[in-house]
Amino acid sequence: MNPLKSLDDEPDTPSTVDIDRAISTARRRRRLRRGAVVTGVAVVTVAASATASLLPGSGLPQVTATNTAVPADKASPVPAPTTAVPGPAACKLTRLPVPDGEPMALVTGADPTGRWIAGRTYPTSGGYQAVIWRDGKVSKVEMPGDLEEALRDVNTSGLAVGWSYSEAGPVPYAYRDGRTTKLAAAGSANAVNDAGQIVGDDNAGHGLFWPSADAKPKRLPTPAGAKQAQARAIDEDGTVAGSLDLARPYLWLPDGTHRELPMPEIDGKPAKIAQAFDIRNGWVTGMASAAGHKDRENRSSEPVYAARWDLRTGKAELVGELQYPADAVNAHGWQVGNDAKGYAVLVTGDDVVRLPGLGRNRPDGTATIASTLSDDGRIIAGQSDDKSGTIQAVIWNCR
Amino acid sequence: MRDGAQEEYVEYVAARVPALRRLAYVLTGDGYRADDLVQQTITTLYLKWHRARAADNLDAYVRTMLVRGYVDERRLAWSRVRLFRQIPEPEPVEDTGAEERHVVRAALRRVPRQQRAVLVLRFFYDLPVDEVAGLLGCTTGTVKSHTSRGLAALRRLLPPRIEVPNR
Repeated sequence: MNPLKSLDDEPDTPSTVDIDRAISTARRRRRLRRGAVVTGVAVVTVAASATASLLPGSGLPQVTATNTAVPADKASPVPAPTTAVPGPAACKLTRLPVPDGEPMALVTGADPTGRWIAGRTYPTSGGYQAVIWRDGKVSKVEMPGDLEEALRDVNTSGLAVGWSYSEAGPVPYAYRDGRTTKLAAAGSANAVNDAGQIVGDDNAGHGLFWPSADAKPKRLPTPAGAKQAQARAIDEDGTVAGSLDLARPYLWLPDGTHRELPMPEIDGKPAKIAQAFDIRNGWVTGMASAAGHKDRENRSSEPVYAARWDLRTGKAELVGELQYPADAVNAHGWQVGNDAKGYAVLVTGDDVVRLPGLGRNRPDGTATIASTLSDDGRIIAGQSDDKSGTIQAVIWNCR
Repeated sequence: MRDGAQEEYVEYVAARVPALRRLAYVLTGDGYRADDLVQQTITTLYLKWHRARAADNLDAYVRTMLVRGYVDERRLAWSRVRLFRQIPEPEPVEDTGAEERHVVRAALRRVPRQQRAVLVLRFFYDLPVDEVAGLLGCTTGTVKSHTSRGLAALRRLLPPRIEVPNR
């Protein structure tokens, strides 16, 4: 008998599906959508200009900061913050070229200059094609395996890292100048810095660190009690940011020590869970929530907040300008993400710059996504649904 | 919503939640993720209710919404980049003579998402290739290649005592 037929059971966890909540969320979305239609005409002309004081953050809790549970590490080699650098005021949108006129494409990573961009396209024949853009020129990256593949990051010398599915699961790879290197038997490579150091995982719950693409990986240590570690990103000095059990924001430092990041405060109380997703020049971005993974009642109704840590001061704060955790952070601590209305935005020190999209905005923030941000804030790459609703790889040039 | 549509929606959804949770559970292999997927589906359904209630086969319409939501690259890119919905992976199940469905579920979880959706629609819901293609918005060739790869993966992952269909 067909084994899939045996799966005719409901989850053994109590249902968290809530019809009333579906209705209230849908109504809120409809209101936002109607609001978007009203301002739609204005958006065309305003979209590419700076929109400071965009939103007072209706319904957001007080963006309180300063959890000083973990003081700044004075011996840290992180350079002083470069404050008061003015951010760009407007960004211009261009589609990135794709090979063979492929119908759909998106961006998955970029180097800190924005000259190298990694992504993947979706050939008409099915499947996935990893690609790299260098100064706007696209080339295909042939990765072993033809199930599913993705490059996750690339550095300033064009060394890209990612994974490709084999029949047994994901396998981590590095790629440069047409040459692919298998990094380990199983797992994923998530990020690479300009020194060529790589972080990822072994697909079995352990974080991995490769000193270089030619070196064997080392397992990142975890404190007692942690079941799984997620290594997401690596800074230029080798500091790795990630999480433990998808619940505790965590750092692995170049000197071999490791420590937890402080929980940002939500409505005056430390967040129940938080995770670090990106790191750059001592700025860490990620998520925080007041509901833990096991809080069945409110796990799916509690919002997920964007969080940012400054490793120089040890300060953790929520980012009220963003609806979801930032998609990238740069050397100034500027971030890209989506605002409360769903628009892709660049959040600099003082300004919020709205990034124009190819088609209509959606309040849930899936129409246009800015995935990468250069250190000078001038090059942002990501994806935007065109008028037919198809995802296209795009680049924003900001000035 | 006026004209009794809201009552109709609530009545329909309340009755369908168990079936939707089953489908979402086969696809995601995890109770929490399944509920997130159902919640997302019924939220969108509310917004589209006027169109949906006129559908010839409302159950099939909603099933399509849920499966598309599951394989949607937009949602995929979104959840991959943002990761905020991610919760710890359940422990893999070893074949310790556990109930067949636990073993099958654990194996299915290791099959890539598109293949998993194709397998579920073809072998759980017994839908023909062309219908699956229409539902997922891809070609019949793609459905066939996902099927054969997905079945091959299951054959490799499942203990020999559990028989996997040939095609």
